Amino acid sequence: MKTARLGLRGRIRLPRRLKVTTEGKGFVLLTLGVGVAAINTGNNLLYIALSMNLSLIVLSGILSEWCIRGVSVQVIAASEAFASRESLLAVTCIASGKRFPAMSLTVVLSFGETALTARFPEIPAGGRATRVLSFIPRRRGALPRLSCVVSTRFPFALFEKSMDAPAETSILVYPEPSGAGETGESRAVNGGAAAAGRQGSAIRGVREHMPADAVRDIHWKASARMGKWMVKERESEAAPVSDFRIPASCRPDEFEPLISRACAFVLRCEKEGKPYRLWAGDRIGVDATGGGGRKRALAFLALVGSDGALPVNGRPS
Amino acid sequence: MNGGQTKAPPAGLLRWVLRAQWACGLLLLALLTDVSRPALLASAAAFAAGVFLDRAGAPREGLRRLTVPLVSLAVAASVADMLLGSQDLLFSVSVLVLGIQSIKFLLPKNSRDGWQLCAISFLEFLASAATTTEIQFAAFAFLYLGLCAGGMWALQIERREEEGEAARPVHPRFAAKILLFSAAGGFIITAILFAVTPRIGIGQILRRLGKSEGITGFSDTISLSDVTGIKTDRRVVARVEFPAPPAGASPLSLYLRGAAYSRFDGTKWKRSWGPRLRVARAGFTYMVAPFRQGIRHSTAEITMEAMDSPVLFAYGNPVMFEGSLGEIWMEEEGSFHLSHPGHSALRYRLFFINEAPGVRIAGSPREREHLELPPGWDDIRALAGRITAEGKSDSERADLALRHFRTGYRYTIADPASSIRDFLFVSKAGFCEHYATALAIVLRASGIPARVAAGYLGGEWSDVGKYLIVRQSDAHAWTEAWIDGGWVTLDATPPLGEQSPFFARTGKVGIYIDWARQRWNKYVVDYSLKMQAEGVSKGWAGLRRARAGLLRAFAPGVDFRLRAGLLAAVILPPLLLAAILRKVLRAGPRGMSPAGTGTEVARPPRPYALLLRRMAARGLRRSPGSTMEEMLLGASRRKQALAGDASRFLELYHRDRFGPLPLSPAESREAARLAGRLRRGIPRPGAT
Repeated sequence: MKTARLGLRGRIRLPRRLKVTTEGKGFVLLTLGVGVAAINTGNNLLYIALSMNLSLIVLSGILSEWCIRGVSVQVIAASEAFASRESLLAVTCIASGKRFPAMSLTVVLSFGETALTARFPEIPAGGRATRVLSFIPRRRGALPRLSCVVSTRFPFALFEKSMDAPAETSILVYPEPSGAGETGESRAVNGGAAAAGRQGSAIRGVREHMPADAVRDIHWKASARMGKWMVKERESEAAPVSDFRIPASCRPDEFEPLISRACAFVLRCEKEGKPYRLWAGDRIGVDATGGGGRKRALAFLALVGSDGALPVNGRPS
Repeated sequence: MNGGQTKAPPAGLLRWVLRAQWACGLLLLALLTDVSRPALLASAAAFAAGVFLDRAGAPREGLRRLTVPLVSLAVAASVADMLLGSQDLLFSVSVLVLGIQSIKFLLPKNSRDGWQLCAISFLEFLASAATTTEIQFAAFAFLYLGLCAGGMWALQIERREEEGEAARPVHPRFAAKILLFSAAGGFIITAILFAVTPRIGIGQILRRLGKSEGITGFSDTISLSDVTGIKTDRRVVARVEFPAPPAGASPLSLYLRGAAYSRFDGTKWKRSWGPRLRVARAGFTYMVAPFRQGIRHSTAEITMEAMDSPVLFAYGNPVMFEGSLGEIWMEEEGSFHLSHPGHSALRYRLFFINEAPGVRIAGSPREREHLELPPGWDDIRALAGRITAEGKSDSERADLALRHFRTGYRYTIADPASSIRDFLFVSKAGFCEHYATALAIVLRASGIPARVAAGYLGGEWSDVGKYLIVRQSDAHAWTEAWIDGGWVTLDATPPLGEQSPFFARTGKVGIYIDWARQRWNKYVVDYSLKMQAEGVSKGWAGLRRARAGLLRAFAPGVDFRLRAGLLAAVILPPLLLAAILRKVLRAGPRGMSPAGTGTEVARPPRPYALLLRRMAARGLRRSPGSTMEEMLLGASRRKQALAGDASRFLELYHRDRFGPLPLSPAESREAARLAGRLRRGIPRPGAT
């Protein structure tokens, strides 16, 4: 019976879910008690009290619906995510197009076994608010599918109304860097500053802004042209090209440490502004001799399999 | 809400609303119930002290040690009241609840305590609902609904704060809008639910708390000395509507009969408790006598206020009662009374016959009682003989006796006769009881069985609500005589009308207030399953009529424009209503914002906005893309002393606006304080 019910619930996805809080249970019990007393005594003023309680429950439903309806959630990476290192996610709750503010919202993001909670006490009608959450990804590759639940106890905390919010995002977790230069890089990651070759004076390109980027790195003209925030990437003086070779086929227990060392290599090169190349067997995986290869190199390392192939589904083999 | 820590109120105005809800429960108890006044006073004092201590942020953790002794004290007071005081379980429980409420008021409160106090306040609301039927309750109910909404909202915010969320105070205008919506919307929903909830009575497990005090004045005896107090009492006793008024008779001339008194000892009349008969009942219908063919039956809907007498008042010759009245007993005297000694507000429908005035349903008179005169009243027998000497029948003699009091007697309450002898032979001045008693005595002395009946005569007609307002001052006594095989009403009291010393016309406002009370009693206090059934029946009949009308309209040969108009009238209102509902329910009120803005772009919180404005005024205008950090660093370059504050402020600012969690209350206060200091310290351009 229970299995059948669960199956039915799985098939029918209700637009809203309702959970009775502890206070709500007390309120419902009190209402039932008033109902019994009213029916027993026939006292119409007790019927008024009963109707008042029921009307508060109805009002709670209306106001919470106004509060939660039209809320959307955007999730983006607030920093580069490295396996086994603290990373940041920016959760933006948007109440645009609403006429009623979003109050007392809780957004729960779940992926794999990780659940992150962000609270939004109030978002004015038409406004938005962002919270940055930290998490530690377990392994490299694309993050599992993200499920996002928005809930509120507004206005009376009798019920918790929740809904699923679509939060499409593709976040790539880079390998855990290890080996030489690793300590410096990890500090940079934790500190949230993008290590994009700031030592150089010449600007070699622009990329999209991430929440952890400093305001001073914003390229205003490019931002105005593109209609979104863009930050500068600088290059330093010319230097000899460094190569890192990943064997075409490798045992899995040896492969992951190798990928970690490759990651540390890429970060070190990027920090020092040196040109580099990544080889997978006898072919070049990433050529960053012209600069601007950080993202490509890290993405390659996040997705590459032990046979040197890049899987279609975004997961390393 | 730690008792030892001062902090900003989480919900601002809402927190006051929460306190008002607690206070409203106490106020309801004080105004509408009879619970212990000392316990109420103690609770009110604890409430005031609690508010003061909450505001002062006084450390009160030490008070928690007193919880057990204080609770023990409340229990002891309750037990003492049960054993030695009121000896009423509910009264003693109310003392205990008020004691616990007082302790809760004094101690520091978290959201859980807040919920408990809300629950106690709601119990107080229920106690007053179970006790009263006054219309004041309606105003309190509406107020309480809004306060409940605000209070629960405040507790919800407080709970979130306890869980680590730092909410900014809700803007009062926004809170007021939501509370107003909650109160108005809640009122409408309450009214609808109240109307449609079926009224099913399943028993009397719980005792109904009825106020013992009600209208008094109908005891088992009446004398010549206790009338003045009743006649000056302007309280409303009953409100009577006449769905089928008696033909040719004004409601102001109808006698609302209560009890009859047969035994007279020379100074006072007493009721004689003879055999009584239970009126046959089917559901809420009580059949007193069979409906007679060819006779017009009148109908009156009587709403009686609470009374300490079991008497059931009736007009003319009652045929049938309808209402939730329990058992009705009919006495040999033709009076009706209920099973219980008193009643709270009561509503019933009476079917009666008024065409044959005065003919009562009781059987033959009891000779011994109805002809009895006090011993030694030969002078009165002689007077009666003189008065009725020319009468050949009982009817003529009664008419002669009645005419005797039309001349030479005067109505007064200032200097009434002290006895019946005084009234008949000396002063000839008195009020209705003098007239009624004197006529009854004269009739008895003439050999006609007679008794005195008491009730109400007429009243004040309300043109607003089309009903009769019967007041205690309309109390009246008259005579009933057994003539030609039936009891006939004879009233010797001269009709005074507006000349009566007790006549007072109610003002326009008073009439409207009374109309509101009448509606409250009719549609709320006495709302019943029968009214619901009648409502459904009328609705169904209306639908059938509408359907028949539509069918007629669409029959062949009817004008096209009429058809189109009817179609539009049928289709458009529901569509319009649906569109309005959709708009209201889906979108919510326009421009509502907790911060009171409602603009498309979220403004920075107030302290930061003020700082930005001040910097702009000092020449540090904010260009597109420039940040608070850049502006502040620019300002601190002008004045190095600001660098420390600016650095700490920026840290808090960035965490507040872009961090994963809001600032704690202490950090919020620090940020606001630093913003204020920076605002004051930023120099003008060129200044050093």
